[in-house]
Amino acid sequence: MARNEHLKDYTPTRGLPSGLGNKIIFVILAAWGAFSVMSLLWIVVTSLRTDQDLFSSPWGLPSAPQWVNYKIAWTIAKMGQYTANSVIVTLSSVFCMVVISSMAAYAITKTDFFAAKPLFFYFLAGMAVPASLLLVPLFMTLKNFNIRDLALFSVGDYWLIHIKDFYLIDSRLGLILIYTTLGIPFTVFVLTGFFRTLPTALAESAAVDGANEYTTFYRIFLPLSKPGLITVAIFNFLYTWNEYQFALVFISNERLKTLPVGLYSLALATQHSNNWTALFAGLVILMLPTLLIFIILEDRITKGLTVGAVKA
Amino acid sequence: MIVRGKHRWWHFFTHPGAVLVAPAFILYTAFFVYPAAMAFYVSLTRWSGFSPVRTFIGLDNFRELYHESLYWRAVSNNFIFMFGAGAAIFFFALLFAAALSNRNFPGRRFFKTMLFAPYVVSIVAIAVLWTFVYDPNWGLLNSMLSFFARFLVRLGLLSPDRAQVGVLWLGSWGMAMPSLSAVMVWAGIGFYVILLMAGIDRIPDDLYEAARIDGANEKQSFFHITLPLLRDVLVIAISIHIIGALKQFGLIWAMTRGTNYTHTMETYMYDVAFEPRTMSFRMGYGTAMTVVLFFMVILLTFTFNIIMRKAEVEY
Repeated sequence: MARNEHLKDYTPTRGLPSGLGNKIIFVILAAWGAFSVMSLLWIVVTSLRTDQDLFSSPWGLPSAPQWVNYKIAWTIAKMGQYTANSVIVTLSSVFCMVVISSMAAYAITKTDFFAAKPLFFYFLAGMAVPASLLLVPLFMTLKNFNIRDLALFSVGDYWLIHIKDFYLIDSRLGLILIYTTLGIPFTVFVLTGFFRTLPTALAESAAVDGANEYTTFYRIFLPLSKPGLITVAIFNFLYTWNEYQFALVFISNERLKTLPVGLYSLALATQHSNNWTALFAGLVILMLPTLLIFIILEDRITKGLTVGAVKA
Repeated sequence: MIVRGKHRWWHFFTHPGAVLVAPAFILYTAFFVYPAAMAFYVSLTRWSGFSPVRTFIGLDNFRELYHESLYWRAVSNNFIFMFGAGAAIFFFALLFAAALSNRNFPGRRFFKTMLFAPYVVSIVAIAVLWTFVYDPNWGLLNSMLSFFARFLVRLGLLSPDRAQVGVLWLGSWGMAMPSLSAVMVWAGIGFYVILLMAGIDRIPDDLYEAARIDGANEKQSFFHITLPLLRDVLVIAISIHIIGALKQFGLIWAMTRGTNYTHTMETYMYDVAFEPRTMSFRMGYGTAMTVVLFFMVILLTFTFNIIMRKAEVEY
């Protein structure tokens, strides 16, 4: 041991050794960073200017901050409504996805259910399927659930069951259903990996103490898997908040659009209305929540990102 | 173990494992597996999406796809993005990851954050941001160029009549493809840098220590330990990129809507099946495209991984 004393605090240089190459890369990165930061600042600054200012000089600073742009974006351009839709859809789907998938992952890894292994591969197979394959068939399937007016079991003048205007196409509920389902393969995959790291002995000793499988899951494994659940929830949040393709296909009602689709239609409308600075404000509204989450949770996100890919 | 008594057929359904897996199983089967299987049938039909009439036409959709030049254009665009943007992404990602893994690299943390930040931003926001950057009249890029041009004019290096900058970055196929690829590189590189950095970080310390004891310098340990051992992660990263390039949709749709022949498979599929402006609503035809896409994804990831594995044995 004494012979290697000099290695004790040694952290090896794994990357490129310092030298000319590093200096060139530094210059490239600095230019890259300058461009990224500048474009972001430009968006924020321009969202506070007037249209006339923008056209006369695209680069200038606002003479006086035009908060009215945000008001226009939020109300007239309906970004407020879109934000509400996005919040409802995203939070509900992430919640459902995590609850349902954690139950499935527990059943696959910690119970003696004989179909556990085939089920794992059944869920895993979904990760190889490009989601766009589902667009048309899902459109057909969800259409079958449309109920305009359904009344069952009359009791005198009343109906015991009366469903009116229940739609899964062009509805937030339908979108929540889609996102929850699309998230299942990934979430089950990551959570089974996480549950496998937890000792099965815990379940056995809980069984000895008289706990049934449900209690063991709810009281022991769910609290223990909190870090995994949070990581999965963050990724599903980012995915659902930013998802564009399915929201574009399944939502056409102006009042039900989510933020990405809403911003896109605002961008299209701007080509005729020429209210560009409000579009910049809308852009800030769409980007801000995820960027804030990223700044707060950067380490968790970058670490979680590599769980699936590198350790597998 | 808990004694459950005599086994009856319904015990299969009352097993806690079955009960816990049921919600995920039912949702996934009804709204994922069933539609995915259904897609193969739908691709053999003609259907407008509105009428209840769905006609079985065999392989006609695929035959038509084979003869449609616009579709082949879309496929080739996907591959151009795969190779063009891919080459740039992996060149820079390897360079950046290698440099940023060096703990004394100045501004390491800032650069990591900055490169990765676009990953969390909606692709639509990125598309709109870059439409501003590329706007021919007041966009960031053209105003930068004309600022530079005015600067050159003042220095007398450029005649004033040639200082009018009005590059149409998305105005033609030849300009739009590199412009769109640049956005893909900007938006996508962070993910790969993080992935490669994690791969570099995972290499055990003893290898470097052993190399050091054997008298290897830092350069030698980078080229003989870090790079060869990064291979597995690189294979995974490239597979992810291949799949991503085949599924390119949001960025293209929000930036060009497939104009100037910039369609990819998925934007063209959306255009043909769903876009209200196009008014074609050919659901069966669109699904045929996604079925082809499905096989492409499976085939390409398979062959890529097999090729890489073979090479590994030779190594």
